[in-house]
Amino acid sequence: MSWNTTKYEKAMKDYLIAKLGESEGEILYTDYESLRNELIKDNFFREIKINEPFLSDHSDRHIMDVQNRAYKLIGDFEGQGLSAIDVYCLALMILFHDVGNIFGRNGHDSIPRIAEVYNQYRTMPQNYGEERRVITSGASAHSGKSRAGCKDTLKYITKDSIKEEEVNLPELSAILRFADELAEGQHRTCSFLIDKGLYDENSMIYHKYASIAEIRVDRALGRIVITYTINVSENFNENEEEQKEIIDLIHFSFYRAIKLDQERRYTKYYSSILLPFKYVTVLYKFEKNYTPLDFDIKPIVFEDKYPVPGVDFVKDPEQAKNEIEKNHPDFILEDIINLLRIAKIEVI
Amino acid sequence: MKNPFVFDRPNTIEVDEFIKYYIKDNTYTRFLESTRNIVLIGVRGSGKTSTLRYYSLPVSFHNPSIQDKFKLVGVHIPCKQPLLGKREYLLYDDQNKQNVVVEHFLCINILTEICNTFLELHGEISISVEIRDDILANLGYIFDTEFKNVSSLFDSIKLFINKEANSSQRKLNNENFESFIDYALTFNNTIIPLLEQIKKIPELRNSHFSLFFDDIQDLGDIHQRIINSWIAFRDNKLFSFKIATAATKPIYITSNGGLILEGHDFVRIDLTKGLFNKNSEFSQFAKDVIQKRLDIAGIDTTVDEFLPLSETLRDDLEKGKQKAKELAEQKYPNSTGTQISDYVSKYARAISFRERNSKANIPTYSGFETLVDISTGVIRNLLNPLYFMYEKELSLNSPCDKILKINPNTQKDVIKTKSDDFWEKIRNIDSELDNCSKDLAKQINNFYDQLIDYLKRRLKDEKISEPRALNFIISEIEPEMEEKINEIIDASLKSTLLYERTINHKATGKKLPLYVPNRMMLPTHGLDPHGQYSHFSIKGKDFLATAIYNKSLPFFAEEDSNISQLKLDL
Amino acid sequence: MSNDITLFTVLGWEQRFLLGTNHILENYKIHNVYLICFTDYLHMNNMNENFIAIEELMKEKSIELKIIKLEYEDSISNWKKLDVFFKDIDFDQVLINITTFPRETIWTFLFFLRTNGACISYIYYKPDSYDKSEGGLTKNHKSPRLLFKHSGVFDIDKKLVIFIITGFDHNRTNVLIEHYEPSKVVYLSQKGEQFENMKRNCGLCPKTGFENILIDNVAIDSYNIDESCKILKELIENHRDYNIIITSQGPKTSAISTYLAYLNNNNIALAYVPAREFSGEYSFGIGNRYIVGNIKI
Repeated sequence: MSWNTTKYEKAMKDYLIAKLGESEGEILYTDYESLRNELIKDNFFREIKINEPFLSDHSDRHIMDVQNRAYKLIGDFEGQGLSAIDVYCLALMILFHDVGNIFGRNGHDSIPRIAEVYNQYRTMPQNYGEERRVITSGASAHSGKSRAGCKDTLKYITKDSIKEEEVNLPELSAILRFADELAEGQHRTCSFLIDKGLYDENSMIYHKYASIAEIRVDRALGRIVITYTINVSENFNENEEEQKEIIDLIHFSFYRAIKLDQERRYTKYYSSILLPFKYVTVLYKFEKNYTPLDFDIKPIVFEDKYPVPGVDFVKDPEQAKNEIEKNHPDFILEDIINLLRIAKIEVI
Repeated sequence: MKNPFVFDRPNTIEVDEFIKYYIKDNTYTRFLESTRNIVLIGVRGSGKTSTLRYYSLPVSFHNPSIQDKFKLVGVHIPCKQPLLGKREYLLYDDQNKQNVVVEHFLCINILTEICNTFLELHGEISISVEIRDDILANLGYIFDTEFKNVSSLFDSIKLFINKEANSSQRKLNNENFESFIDYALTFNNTIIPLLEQIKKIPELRNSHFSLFFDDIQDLGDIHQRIINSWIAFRDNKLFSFKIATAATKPIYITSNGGLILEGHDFVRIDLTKGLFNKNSEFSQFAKDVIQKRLDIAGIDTTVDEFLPLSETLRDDLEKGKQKAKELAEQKYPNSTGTQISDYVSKYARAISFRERNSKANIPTYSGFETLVDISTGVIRNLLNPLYFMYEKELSLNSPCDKILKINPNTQKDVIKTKSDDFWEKIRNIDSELDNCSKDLAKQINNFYDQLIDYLKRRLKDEKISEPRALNFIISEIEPEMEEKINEIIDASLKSTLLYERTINHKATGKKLPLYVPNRMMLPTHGLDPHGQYSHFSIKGKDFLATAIYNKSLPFFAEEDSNISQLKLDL
Repeated sequence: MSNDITLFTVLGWEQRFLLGTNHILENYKIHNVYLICFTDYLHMNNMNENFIAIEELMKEKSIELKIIKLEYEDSISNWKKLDVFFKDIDFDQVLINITTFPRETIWTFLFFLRTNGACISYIYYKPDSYDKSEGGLTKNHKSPRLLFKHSGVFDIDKKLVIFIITGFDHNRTNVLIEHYEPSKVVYLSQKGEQFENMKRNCGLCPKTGFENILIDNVAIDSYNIDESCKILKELIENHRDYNIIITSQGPKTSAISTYLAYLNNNNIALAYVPAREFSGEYSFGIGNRYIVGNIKI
């Protein structure tokens, strides 16, 4: 599949021109486009499959999908306070976020791996130090662990700049991370290979999941909409093996839906643009031999959890102490008291 | 002698009579008994208003089959209200202001109907003075008004609404209608507080309020979007919406550009769904409706006896069956399984229609099943011809005679008249439909004329595997053809010349629209309304050539081989 | 009349348009002319020729001709345009040639001119005959709409009655009833044998489905505006327990009487049923009678 200009790119071009003027806007867009074209021309994204044949799709199509999702999440560049350089950087971050997979899945999100690919395709990379730093650190935060070794990768992303223009990197990294989480669906897998059992055992469940998932960004109503369409065969009732597979698939979908909601709550902590997404609604649709079945199953809704004063609150100081000590090992009261006991004041 | 098949507008019938006549269609009514949002889609005459009325409180309260009268409080809100036809909001440039005005009048309408719903119970709910005063005090605070102390709680509220309606209409009509915006009613600041307050009435403590919007397609776009925004509310404990629409393509957009989604936000019920599958429940439902009316009228007969098949038609069908059996035995000399019976089932009727005497009049269309077929699953299309059949039968008999059956010739005559009327409607489609130009009318006429011709050729062809197929899909639609094809199809759907269903293409998983011609158009041309549960394909370019240039639809006997790939989406 | 009469007229394709304009210019001291052109109907027969003819006529008479461009289909934009137009100019003596005016536009102009404080006169030319072809005078009707700022004050407790001053297009009447589903309809049908009136304007063509609607029939002479106003006033009074919508589909002069009825009681609403297609001929010639009057407000 060849590259089709994404909605993000169309909007980006118009936005760069509007913000920077025709000449400068065109130059910046061309800068992005040339880098993208180099990757496409070299079949880079398609070649990821060679090293990781059982991964879900990471080709150009996935990149386009992530860009389109990001566009839907943002809604309106101007209205969301994104600068021209922000929009430009996010486009590049999306382009490079999965390039590390060419070396293998493990550690694909590491900065050095992303940088290596970036340097290969960016003409005169020595002139793009700031950009490289911004793109690689932002793209790297979409998964894996932070430099501190924890999973809170967005925590350590700070604002940056390119040619003295501020780049709101925490915001962009959050958007990339969430857009990537949403970029799931039938287009990432092959039904033939699933039906024939030609994916390896470990990755099969991911492919099956991709084949049933349809994820939609609904900014206007402040939600993410997930629809799972699960088909069973006509003799499902007699086929125990199929029943087990479907149960496993549904379990996995529960896990992925919860994970998506977790990503929603996590990323919007770092992004004002993602704040409006207040809930995730998950609907299961079932078919038998591709004929829709009419079950009246309500959607599962994951909402924002917020504390209501007086509800589930600690009942007394003792409970409060236990709560704090559980979550803050440095603040065990007994230890504090002991420290106080042994502390001496020097009188001069 | 009163005609048992009178089809009055449901809102005009007395409650007791309505309950007597109404037959529940159990395929979908359980959804109306739930707390979910529902979008009920059905053409005019398919029973939407009757169903909503059945579940509205004034009717359900008197329904002996309902035990807990207040578990579900249905409030019927008709959308054909002149108040909702005011257009001054269109003069605002600002979309938000338009929304404010529209929501205000929608809320007035809803508040009115909530009050009317309880007032229609004529004091069946006793509300103590304390509770009444408490509710009015709280609502007075919320609505920033002082309620007049009249006889009942709902009379007081209605007075307030009337005053508010008057005042806001005057503001809207006067010089400075911006002043209107100062305090406008919204769903959040009026309907929800009202429902919460009236739950203090002991009988309503555990009630769920269902707001039934009837014929929502009569509202403007902005009205519908606002209602969609309400449907998108996540919490359905206190209230839910049941929306009835005759629109072929309902609007699902909300006022801020979002989309309400089937399954997530509402359950979609398509009343025409039950028609076209093999196990159609409509036939049984239709029988129940007719039988009930006969019983109420004291006509002691079964439906099949009341609507007998004509002997001529019966003979023709039998002859067709015999001939089909002979042909099957020739084709399958060593037949296995159901080969012979399948063949007979497929071809018998076609042979009987095909081999009728070419000089004979149209077939003697008669019998209950024929009537069901011709109705194409719309209950009004069933009761309306029945009404005229009964009238005609009355006129042919002495006034004292009880009508125990409709003579097959009477049935045939009325069906033929109705079919002719239907074609008259097609000929004058530009007068029937909003925004139908002369050119579009011509194209529609061309298409249906050619479709009939095609169906006749199909019926006559001895080699084709599905000679009585009536339904079709449109295939190979190039982008440049789409707009025109959609224009013709949409106009046909709006005027019920066609109905639409969805089928699944197994190999690609793609959903395709299946078009079902209104079977009322067939008797005029002597075609079999029974049809077959299969369809044929019309290519996009042929569809347009037929409509625009009045060309014949190409006929290929071998085309049926692709049909097995398609499965009806039930 | 004083010298400063401003004429408002709508560019039409009927013969009455030019013939009527000529008559007006011969008998009235017209200072300037505002020609309303509905741009979406400029394709009708003779429109271009009539436009050129009127331009030449105004040049010949040294009368200033100004064009107001409106779109028949777009009532919102028309209202807004006219709102601005009438705010910018003051009018004193105005003559409206309602002959080729759509009724909704007549009402709209009456509203704005009234607000402007103008002294309003009207003139109407009857044709020799109307198009008798089967297609009717108008076709392809759109959903009815209430006139802006004249949409009445509806009482939530009252039922609805529609007063229809009927014309030759029965479908136009039925569209109104189907749209509003009133409890009652009062058909006001024109008296007299002019233009085969009794045959063409029977008014009552109730379709199946109208059985539950109460129907009253009243004969009216719409050419006699005073009498029509009186009848309408009485009917409104007799139907004070109803919400009332009035529409004019009969002789064009009924647009005046319905507007006057509205001025007398602004709780009633004025409704209009737009048509998408008009007969290419519509009417022939100009009768030997015209109707002229003043709007006294």
